[in-house]
Amino acid sequence: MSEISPILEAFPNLQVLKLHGHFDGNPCFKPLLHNCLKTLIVESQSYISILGQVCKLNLPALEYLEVWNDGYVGGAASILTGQLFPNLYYLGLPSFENTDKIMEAIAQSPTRRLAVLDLHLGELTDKGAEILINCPIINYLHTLNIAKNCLSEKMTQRFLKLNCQVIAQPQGNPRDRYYALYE
Amino acid sequence: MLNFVIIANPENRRVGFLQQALAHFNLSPATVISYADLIAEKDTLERFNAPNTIIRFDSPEKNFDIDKVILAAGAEVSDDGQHQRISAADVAKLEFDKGQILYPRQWYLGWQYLLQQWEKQLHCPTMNHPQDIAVMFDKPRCHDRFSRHNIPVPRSLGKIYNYDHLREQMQKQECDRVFVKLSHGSAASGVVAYRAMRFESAITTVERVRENGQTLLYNSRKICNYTKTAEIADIINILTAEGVQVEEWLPKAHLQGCGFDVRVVVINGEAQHIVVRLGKSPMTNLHLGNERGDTQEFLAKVGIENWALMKQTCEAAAALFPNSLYCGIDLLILPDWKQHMILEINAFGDLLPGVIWNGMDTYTSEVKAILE
Repeated sequence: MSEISPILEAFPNLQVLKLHGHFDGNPCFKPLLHNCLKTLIVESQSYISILGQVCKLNLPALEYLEVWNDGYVGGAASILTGQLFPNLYYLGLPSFENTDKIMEAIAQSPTRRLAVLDLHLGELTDKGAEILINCPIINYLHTLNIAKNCLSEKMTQRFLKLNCQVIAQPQGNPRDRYYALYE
Repeated sequence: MLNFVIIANPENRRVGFLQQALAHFNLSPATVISYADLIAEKDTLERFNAPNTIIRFDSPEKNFDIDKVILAAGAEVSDDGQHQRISAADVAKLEFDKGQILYPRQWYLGWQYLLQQWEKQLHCPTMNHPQDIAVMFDKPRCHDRFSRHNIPVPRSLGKIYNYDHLREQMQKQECDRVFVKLSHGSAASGVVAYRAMRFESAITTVERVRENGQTLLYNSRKICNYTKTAEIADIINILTAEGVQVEEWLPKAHLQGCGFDVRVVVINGEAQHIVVRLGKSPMTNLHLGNERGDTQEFLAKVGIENWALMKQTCEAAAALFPNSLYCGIDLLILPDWKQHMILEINAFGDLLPGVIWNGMDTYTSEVKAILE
């Protein structure tokens, strides 16, 4: 599959869509409007950023977005600063490759109100975490998941003191970990 | 007109490289069969029985769903080892945890089993025969085959059962530093450079994590140096249970200030593409952040005569797998720049992006060899 639009066009009342598997070739989504989609979950691996493609879609009803294994900082930042998906309250970017860079990108910007932010299995270090903990987005969060990132014990404790529910344990060091090739 | 069939994870870039190579010769694109479909028996290789068809098995890497089905295939295979086992039902529940070393022996048993099934389905030639692939994924078997045919290899310490046994054999065989490698790992997965002189040290890409009273091992780009006996013994015992190849740790020749080894791709019996892999640690694999060395500088330094002998050795090693058109050989060169040994042979060791030999990349050269 390289295009999501046939599904969206065929099912205009679709509310929940979950995609699991690989995208053939270079996925390229048509920038179309879908008024009903509330939940979109993409679990895939692709050399082209799927998040980048998702950001092309006009989804005014979208409340829950989860995209695995991505690394497109621009897309994440656009969503966190409220430029896309006006009704979003849950953003999940598990296993994101450049988590620190997302924080750097939103550091000076006003951020949207989000109820749940899931960044687990990412590459957030104390550097990015310092920005995040001072970011206004924290004030509105109900739940923050930063488990299995690269945070120090000290930083983890600071997050656990926040007003929102924080899932911060265990930490790992996934940034340095690699998925072994089979040669 | 030749019809190629490639069996791979379709999203893997290796597929694209083959298609490019075929396009170069104006051949029609290869039919892509996914490992997912083949393993689930939604497809079969039996249907490829037309003349002028050739099948290429490519690496099943970097796809957790496929890793899981291969593991599941290995769940019921009987084996006399001490490896960790996981039932097919529990495999399905596994969650991706990047870098985790997961049941390597069971993975291999599944992989070998699948290769045996696919071999029975073959009605046409292959670029690389499933039997050869199965052996190349088994380091002790390869080492044995090389030794028996007088291909120079580092001295093996024989089958090692656990940490205590390792130390006992190192003393007995007068070897104070060794490389302990998972029998079925590649890309520096589960490799420990272990020294047991007056103090112990284990330099490794293995990251040891304790969670809920269990030890989990991960492949890490950050090289760790363990010095506590308890930690070292723990890691070694987990690896030996999965099957390891233990060899003497030999010094490497130096280039550009680093120890190095050479990946040599042998295609159709000829040593062709090479990559010099510099390492600041005992592990030289490139994805660990190591750099490619300067090939011209290497060739100038090794000299025509020595290099010709080294290439011959690589070609002789490849020739012991007569039903495989290509393979990637890891060549160790000792500090005298003359003595050399085969460290490993890789069934899918032809992914050398950007490396050109006679104007062709590895895939183009492989296709050309078939056309001739």
